[in-house]
Amino acid sequence: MSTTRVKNRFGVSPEDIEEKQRAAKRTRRLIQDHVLDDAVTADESSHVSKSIVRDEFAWGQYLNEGIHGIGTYGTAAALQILSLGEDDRYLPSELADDRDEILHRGRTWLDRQWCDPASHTQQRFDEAVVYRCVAFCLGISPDESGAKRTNSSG
Amino acid sequence: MIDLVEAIDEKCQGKDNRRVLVEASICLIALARFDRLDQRMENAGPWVAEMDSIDVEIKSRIDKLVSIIQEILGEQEDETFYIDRFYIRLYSTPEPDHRYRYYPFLIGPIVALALLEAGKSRPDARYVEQNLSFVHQTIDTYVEEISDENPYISEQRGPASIGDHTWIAECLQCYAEYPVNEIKQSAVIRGKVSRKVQKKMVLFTFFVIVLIGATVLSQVTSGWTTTIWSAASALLGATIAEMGLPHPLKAD
Repeated sequence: MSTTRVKNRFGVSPEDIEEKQRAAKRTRRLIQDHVLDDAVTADESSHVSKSIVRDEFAWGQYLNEGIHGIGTYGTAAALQILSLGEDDRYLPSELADDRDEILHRGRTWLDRQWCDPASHTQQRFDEAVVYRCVAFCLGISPDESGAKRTNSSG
Repeated sequence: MIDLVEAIDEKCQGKDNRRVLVEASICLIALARFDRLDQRMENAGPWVAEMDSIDVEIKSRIDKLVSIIQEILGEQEDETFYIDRFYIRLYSTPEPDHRYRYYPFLIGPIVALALLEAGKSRPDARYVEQNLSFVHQTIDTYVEEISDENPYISEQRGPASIGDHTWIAECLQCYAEYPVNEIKQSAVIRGKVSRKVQKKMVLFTFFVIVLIGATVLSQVTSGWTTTIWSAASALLGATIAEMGLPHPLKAD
């Protein structure tokens, strides 16, 4: 039996909003799938990541050596996308393991770039403050990476 | 951060609206996330005594940024800019050869994300509900654009294209987590109405209320007058009858 929805004159009801929320979550997962697929493929080939569009380097420069080296911003962006809704267990366990591995390696890499005096980022830090800060804020949020590293090490 | 908010407020007049929206949104996201972090840590340190002043300061900054964003959204006749993007040139990129590069900020997702983050940080009807049509428009656009068959193809080519996807994914996730019970039905209606229309509706409502009030008042006044006149007439009649005189209002 279908229920009658109470809608206002613009045709938006709380039920509509709930549907939109489900659609939003579904679409977010699609984006994550694309990023994950790209990252896994890149890891296997140890080469520039494959393209989901015609542009050969469209999703490159994260976790893999591209023509410009490993990109801080690209890595941070990919990690940010993959870490959304981590509690949402929608992935098969195999892919979930891949995702966790990619997240761990990416965060470790970003962490080293931030702390290691020998890292490329540290050596050029003064020249790239804004760019680096934005990237690190995206890639490592204080309530995620720190807590997880502490938990895993503890 | 606080200086930056004031700078945005001072300089927003005459500036490119897209730039103001992006800068205000970035600040708003940072403040709202810091605010939530701050709330979680309020019992964690010796600086608890300072919390009240920090709290008020953050709230006023969030209010200011939301009002800046809301003003631009309300005045914008052409709403297609929500699929537009604003490019920030990476002057600070270390390699000189890379300085021609730009980083894209998708305006719709980043503004919607900022409003949603502010709403999650401090539930206030102004933050999300009044701009709900904009948020919905943005969500609908990207939900339709991205499907199993059609992965979203960013106009931005090269490694930076993942930036577009970051803002979209963040915005979708934040919307999916937004407490739906806090979006009241009345606010849903209000969110679909532009500020200009809202002003007209307020004036119209005021006029209707005044009209109804005047009508009711006249009816009440008229009723009271009739009642008072009847009572006075009856009292006069009774008094006259008591005195044995002829009633002045009755013919023989």
